[in-house]
Amino acid sequence: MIEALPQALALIFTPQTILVGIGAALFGLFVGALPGLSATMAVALLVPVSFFLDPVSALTAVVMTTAMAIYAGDIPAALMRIPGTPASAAYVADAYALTKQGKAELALGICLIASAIGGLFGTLVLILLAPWLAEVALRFSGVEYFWLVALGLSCAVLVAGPDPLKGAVGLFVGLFIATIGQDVTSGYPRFTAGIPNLLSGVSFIPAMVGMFAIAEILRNLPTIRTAAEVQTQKLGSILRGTGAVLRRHPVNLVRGNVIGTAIGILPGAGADIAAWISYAVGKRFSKAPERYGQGSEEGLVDAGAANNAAIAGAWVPALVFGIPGDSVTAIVIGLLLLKGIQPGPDIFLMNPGQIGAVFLAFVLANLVMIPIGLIAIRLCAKVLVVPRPVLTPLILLFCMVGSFAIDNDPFALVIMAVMGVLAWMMEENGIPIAPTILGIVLGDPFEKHFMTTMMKGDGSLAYFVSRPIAAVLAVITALVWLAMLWALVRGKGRAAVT
Amino acid sequence: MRLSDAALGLVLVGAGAAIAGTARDFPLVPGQAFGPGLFPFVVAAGLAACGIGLIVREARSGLRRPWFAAGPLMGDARARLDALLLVAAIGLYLVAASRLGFVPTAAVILLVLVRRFGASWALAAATALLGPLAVYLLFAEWLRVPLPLGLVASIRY
Amino acid sequence: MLTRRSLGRAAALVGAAALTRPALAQAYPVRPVQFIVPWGAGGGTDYHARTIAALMERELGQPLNVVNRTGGSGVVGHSAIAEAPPDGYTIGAVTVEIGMMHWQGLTRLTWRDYTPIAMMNLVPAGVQVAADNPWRTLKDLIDAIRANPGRYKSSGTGQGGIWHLAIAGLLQSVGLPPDAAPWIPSDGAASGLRELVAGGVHIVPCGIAEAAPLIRAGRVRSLAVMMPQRLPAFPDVPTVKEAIGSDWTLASYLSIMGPKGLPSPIARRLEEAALRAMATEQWKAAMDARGFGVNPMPAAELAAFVEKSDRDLGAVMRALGLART
Repeated sequence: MIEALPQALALIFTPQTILVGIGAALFGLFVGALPGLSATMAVALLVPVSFFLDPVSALTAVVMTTAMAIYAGDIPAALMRIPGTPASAAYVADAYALTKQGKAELALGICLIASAIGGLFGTLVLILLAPWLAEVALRFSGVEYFWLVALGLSCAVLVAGPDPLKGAVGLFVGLFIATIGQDVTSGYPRFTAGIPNLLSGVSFIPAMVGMFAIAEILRNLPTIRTAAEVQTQKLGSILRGTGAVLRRHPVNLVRGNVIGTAIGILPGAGADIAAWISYAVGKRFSKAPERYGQGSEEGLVDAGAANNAAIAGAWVPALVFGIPGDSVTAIVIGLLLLKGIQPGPDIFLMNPGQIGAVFLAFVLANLVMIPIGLIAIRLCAKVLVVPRPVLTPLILLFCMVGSFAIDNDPFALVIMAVMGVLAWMMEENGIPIAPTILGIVLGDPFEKHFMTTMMKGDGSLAYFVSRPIAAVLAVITALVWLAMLWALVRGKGRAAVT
Repeated sequence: MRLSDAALGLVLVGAGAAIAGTARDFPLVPGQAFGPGLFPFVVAAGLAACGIGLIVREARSGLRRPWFAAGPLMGDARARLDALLLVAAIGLYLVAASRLGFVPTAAVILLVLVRRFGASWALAAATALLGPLAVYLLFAEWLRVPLPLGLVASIRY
Repeated sequence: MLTRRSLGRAAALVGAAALTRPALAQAYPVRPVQFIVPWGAGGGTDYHARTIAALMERELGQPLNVVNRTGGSGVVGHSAIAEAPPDGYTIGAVTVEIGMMHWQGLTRLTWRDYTPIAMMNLVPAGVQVAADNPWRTLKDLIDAIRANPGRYKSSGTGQGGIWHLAIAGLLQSVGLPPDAAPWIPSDGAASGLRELVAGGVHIVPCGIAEAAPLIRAGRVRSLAVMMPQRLPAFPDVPTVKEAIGSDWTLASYLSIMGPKGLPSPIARRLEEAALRAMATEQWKAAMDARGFGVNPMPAAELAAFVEKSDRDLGAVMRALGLART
């Protein structure tokens, strides 16, 4: 890999590539910062442009756009409680809580630096271990995914809040929402009330926009005319303030990176599960777990780092086997083929310079992200100066446009409104929504992998532990569940004594 | 709208029963012992169990809380109307946007809501004028999100 | 409110009247055309649509905006095309699912609710197995299934999806029960192939083009292609007929259609633009790159093809017990 470095450098440091790269970074930042517009959409818009570019410029553009768009998705999440991806939903509550405490710049700064470091870590792993990791990822069949999702679902206990019973209610509500739509085993439409838009289930992004942003607007209505504006503390230097936070939580940063990369490599599971697991693990081992969900800087480090580390991971199976890890890499594979680069185990031998240049683009993207991101934070934080009677209706408009844009489907507005009212009622009654989000995100793969595994094993439960990796994951899941049960019993015992 | 734990429990048991009742009619795949109904049944059982748990917990502490309290949003007449307007705004968009177009519909929504939330008429008018145009330029013109043109289509072409 | 609404209706009427004027039909198109894709960005349909849109723009002199209207298992996007005003400013990609969803009772839409414009491509099914399996030929595989019905599992799309019908029809054609290689639903061909390589399933009868990178990597073997002739991109893969003598063929298709009742001058203009776009070198290069063939088809031929496909798929779905209508 190292031998290809000079060639890769020569390919990427051309005026055209640099110009395209910077343009793509700004484009990605812009698209990502608009609620509802995803990294996938930004990349899809690039495809026609890429016809006119050389392979390295085209791929650099994709890499730059993706990295910036994923980071920029944190901006509306932190400032307006509008999450852009299921992954960022893991920490939107904390980021927004910090904003309300006047620490918007700090929250976004942590996301930015944690993202950049996570991205660099993921890239490093990609460069060093790609062929080997792809091999491991390909051992994962539905059974292994089932146990992984089960492990992810057990995070619900950790994000459940102070009342475990109501936490469980939240989780079941989420799992129920996940059952809406065509059933995996037979294609039978469940709970759709004859509405075709629900056939493939409740669309994630509108649901999350409703549950976070609309519910928040509803909750704040009684005080909308009276409450003082949020006093944003201007950090003298965002970098210095953020640096101090990161130095306080080095373990979280490293752990987030490792979890993000490890889970991001698995095609399809990706960044979502990674961010939630990293967040939950962080909470479990934190000295201040009660701060999680209330504006925990630590939690932001956990999930933010994992989120971006997973992006590079998704490229591993795409490059080595042509198997897309997410929708962005699905487009990337098309682009590679169009430019005459065949994904395959020999991709590094056949095109060392070009692939080397793509890796360099990853590194550069995560470095360029910091200065551009800092400027964006300063600019976007100005949003909070807008008086609330003006800002609130504008947020509503953004929510509507953003929900619509994800599937170009007006029905998304209905989903958004219904979920918004539901989440508001749940929060009024002390039912936490974090487990609900987890249920919506993981319920579908949980059922799918359970059912397909049962079908593969002809109905035998033994099939669930019949493969070595699956058996190991099953044991880990069982241990986690036992540990949590133990903690619950012991906690109750202690509460009874005191 | 705040329910006591016992009332919430009853709602959950009811929801569980409704889900289970619907799921009973889901057809089985030929040749399989489990099908589309399995997970909904598990979820329904879970919801019902939580509901019973909540009822029992409150019964033990003597059912002292009121079954139903209005809470800050529902208890305040002005906020109640605000919330209604907010939901109505989404409804209006759904009904009117395809015919009127994005920009006029959004302008009406912004004008009404911004004014209602206490800003001056001038500020409300400015927001209603500039907000939708900016959003339209960003999303529709530049990023090709197909926001409905409506009336504007007949003017522009 | 009332006045505003009636104003809108009046404006719409004026617009519609203006469009039916023959003079304007000749000037068509005067504004951007929306090209609806019922499937997500990054998939095969999206790839075809974005490529042809870029080429048709040059022919038509107006932008073609590709819009992914996903969700609803394809029903939502297909409905959006059918329900659009037939003025030529909304067309879309209609895929093989239009001949399947109505049998399942998911929608009442059939291909008769559209105006066919042109065929974009056929995606022939292949029979793929993992390379570490002993089966060298399709005959080996069929014999193995015959010896142990139900033991070998297949996957590659949802229950009752096009590739499910591909294998079921193949098995039926050699006298086996259509569920002799039970179907394990998956999100799509990519995740089915992943399962195949990981050893979770045994057969993935998906579009052969989608398996190309894994075939090249030596992880997957394609035993046969369900077409009357071998494919130029895969000259070593025999046809089903050559391998086991069965006449079974199956190809998924991607077509361009507009809403029903598209005025014929507009439909013809679009058809010409599409066919000319598919005759360019760029189209051929883009299709070659992903292992797709080039199979353009004019509107009349498309209609006949779609009608036959609809009937064939209905028959297989009934045999599988998947049809509800």
